[in-house]
Amino acid sequence: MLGLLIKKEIRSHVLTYRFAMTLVLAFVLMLLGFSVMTAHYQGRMDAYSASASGRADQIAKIKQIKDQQERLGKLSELGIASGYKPALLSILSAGVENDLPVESHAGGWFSRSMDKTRFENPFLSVLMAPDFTYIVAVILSLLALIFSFDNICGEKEQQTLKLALSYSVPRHLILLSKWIGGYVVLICPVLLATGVALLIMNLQGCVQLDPGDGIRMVLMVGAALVYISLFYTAGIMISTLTHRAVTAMIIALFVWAGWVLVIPNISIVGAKLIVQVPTYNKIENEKNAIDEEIHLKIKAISKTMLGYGDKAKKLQEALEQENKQRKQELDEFYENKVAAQNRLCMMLSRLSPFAAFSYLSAALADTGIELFRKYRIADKRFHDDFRDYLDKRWKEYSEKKLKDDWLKPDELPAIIVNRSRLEDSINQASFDFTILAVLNILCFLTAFMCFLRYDVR
Amino acid sequence: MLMLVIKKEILEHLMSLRFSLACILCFITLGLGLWVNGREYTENLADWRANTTMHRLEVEGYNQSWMIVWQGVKVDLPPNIMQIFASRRAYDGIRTIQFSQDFEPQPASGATTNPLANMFPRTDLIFFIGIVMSLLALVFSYDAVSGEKEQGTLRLMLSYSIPRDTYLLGKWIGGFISLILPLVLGLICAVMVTLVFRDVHYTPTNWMQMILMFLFAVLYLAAIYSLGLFVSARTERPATAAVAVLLVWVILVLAWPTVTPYLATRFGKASSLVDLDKRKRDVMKEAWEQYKKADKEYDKAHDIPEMWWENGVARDSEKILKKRIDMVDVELKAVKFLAQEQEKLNNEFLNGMTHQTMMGQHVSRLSPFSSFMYVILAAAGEDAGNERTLQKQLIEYKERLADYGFKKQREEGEERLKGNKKPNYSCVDCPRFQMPALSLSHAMGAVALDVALLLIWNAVFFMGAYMSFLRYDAR
Repeated sequence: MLGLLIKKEIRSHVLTYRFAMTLVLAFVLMLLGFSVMTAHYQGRMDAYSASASGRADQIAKIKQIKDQQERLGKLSELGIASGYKPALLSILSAGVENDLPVESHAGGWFSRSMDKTRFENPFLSVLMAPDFTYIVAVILSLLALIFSFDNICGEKEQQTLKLALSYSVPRHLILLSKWIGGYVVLICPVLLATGVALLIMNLQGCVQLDPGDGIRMVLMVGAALVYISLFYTAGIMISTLTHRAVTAMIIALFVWAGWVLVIPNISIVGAKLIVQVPTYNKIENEKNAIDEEIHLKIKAISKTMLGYGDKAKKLQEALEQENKQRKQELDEFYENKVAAQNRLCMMLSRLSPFAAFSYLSAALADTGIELFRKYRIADKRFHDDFRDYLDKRWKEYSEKKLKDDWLKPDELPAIIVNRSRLEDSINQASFDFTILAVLNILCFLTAFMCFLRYDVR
Repeated sequence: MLMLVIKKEILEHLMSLRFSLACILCFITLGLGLWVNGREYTENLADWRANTTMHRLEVEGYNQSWMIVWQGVKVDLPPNIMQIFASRRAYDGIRTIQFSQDFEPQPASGATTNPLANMFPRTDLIFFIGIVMSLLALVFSYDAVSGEKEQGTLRLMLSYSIPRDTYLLGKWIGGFISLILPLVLGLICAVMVTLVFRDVHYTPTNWMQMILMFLFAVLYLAAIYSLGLFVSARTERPATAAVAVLLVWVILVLAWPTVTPYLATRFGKASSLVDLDKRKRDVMKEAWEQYKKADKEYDKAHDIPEMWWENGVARDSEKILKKRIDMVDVELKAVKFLAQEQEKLNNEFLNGMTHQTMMGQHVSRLSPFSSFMYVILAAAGEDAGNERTLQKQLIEYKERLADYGFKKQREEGEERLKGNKKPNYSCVDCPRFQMPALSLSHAMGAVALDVALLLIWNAVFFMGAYMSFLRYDAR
């Protein structure tokens, strides 16, 4: 019986023009989205390799200088650059990836930086990236609602529900068959389009996938199915709560707008109101003030003690230590505040499955907020390490211990962002996955309960 | 007669569920969103004030003339108050630009430090009106014709002696007024909310900008509203109309504008940033080699030994002091050469990029949302043209700084040559950077095409609705 009902459902859905539109939209969007995101990734990857070869060239050139002092001076003056290797899965979920620079420069005296606002397409950052996550989370979720909002009340309006229930079919079977039939019709084009897009991406040969990435992708697609099913089920739930298709439509739209457009934005607003983070500028000014203060103190010491002797030296060292520590504390204070604000925002926004899915997807692709933090740490370490490296060499030089072949490319620091292990990513994503699953069940149960007492007259 | 229809339409909408939901959405989202944007602006303004004073004092405290040239000057760009309403979101915090003569103006800060800003679109007018209100506009209009048909009221209405065109116009006006009403109230309320902050003062120009933004919003929403009406007049059942309207909305608002900036990279190949950086470094090397050559030639001509110092003291101090004065011009020339060449490379790169961006923009204009985004950004002074003007001024300012700094160096050298060991040195008269004034007419000229497009969309959709309604089968 169930098989028959599902078959009927599938047939009636396949013949509608919303199915045709879903098919077309899913294919066009997936292919377009994957192709532009792959091209974007490719561009970033090219920049990365250009940066790596530029770095190697520069080191080789500096190494040609015979005179040690001149060589050290040149290295301090020119500094070195290090590229950031983009995450492959940013094709599927861009996350914070586009906010990270392609290259960072560290110098002995000054570090160059590029003005992003000048050298980048100004419209890239206004809207979200058209990646797999965006297409699923924003567009396909709306299509899922469109698929199901009139599932029950629409049939009631057409009087076919009355007829169906006059046969000896239990209500739960009808609901179940409706759910399964509609869902199958909905996800077939989505899966097909995703599959084709992934296949084309692979066949182009510009991306190398390793098995770990494959698993991550499969998990992302799986999570997308759960997410789409949530919106689909929510549509059925709304349908069983209302008696006219038009009302169901409006409620469904507001639910969608609330989940996808409003709650995520409002949660940012809320987090900003509750946890207030000082601007980074304030922190920097504070740091400068500390520098100034310590500088004055050191000056005073050298004046009173003439800057000589062990005692003065010890005092100076202690002051420098204090300087370092106080600045570090400020940085930590700032980072903690930012982390707290971000956490709160994430918690608040999880009221919306859209946000939960975005986090889940970004966690699986390893391009979430965690990546942003990791990049900042890596960049800071790169700068610090380079400074230490130079200090060490200058010290060796002054002690005449510097060897002739001291400039080795692999000894020089670089930006190394630790990628999360698969298990960690899954762990991170599991919370959001649970939210999606629980909401799914809740919606289905509500739909079930309401349908059992639905007035079909 | 028209008034009667309009009145009926408005009253009908006011009683509906969607109107109350729209009101709630407008008040909560706009109010909260603009409140937070306003607070961000005041924080940025406070930072900007503190920084400008600090950086100015730093410059005025320089006690040697090389410092202004090589240590440089930091300039803070004031935050744009219209960012409360629309922003390109490319940076958070204020922008501080570092000027030093050995590299081009570069950001001293202004990198994103808080990823929160990049998680979801910012709650401003582009987001709220462009996406949320456009959806509402469709919700308000999709069943205007087909819904009445289903309820049988359309038949009744047309049986009276009321021409179809008057009826459609009445429906359009009445529905549109009830759509705009919550927006106007919400906007007024939100603007009032931002005025709570002591530092938010809108100048007459700002009010002008706001009015312009509002007019553009009305134009955009009218186009989308007419689109809904058009679809409604082409369909028999509101459920069909709803599905069709939503699909169109998905394509026009969610899909196309998001894809096109990325699609832009397909139009012509621009060289990469890393490559640009490398070429600039090559130019830098060339400039310094030229300078070093001139330096050596000077030493040869004036018989200055390579090791001209001993125990930290110059051997022939008069000659060295004289050399310093003479070399100022050579150095200035090198610095200017460097700046010019680098700017040439920049422009070459930017031309490629601008071409891509422009092509992307043109393609994206198929969607009224993109046109709306461009006009709103232009009205807020956040458009690409404004940024270009700013960058040009920054380059000019760097040149002025170079002239000033090297003039100071020469003066200091001359004083020392006269035997003055500690020349009186002050940088109080160091040139200040003037933020270019926003030219609204210029910005509007750049987006005239978009305004025209929005008007055309309006005309097309309304005409479509009109033609379809004239032959609509009301049975």
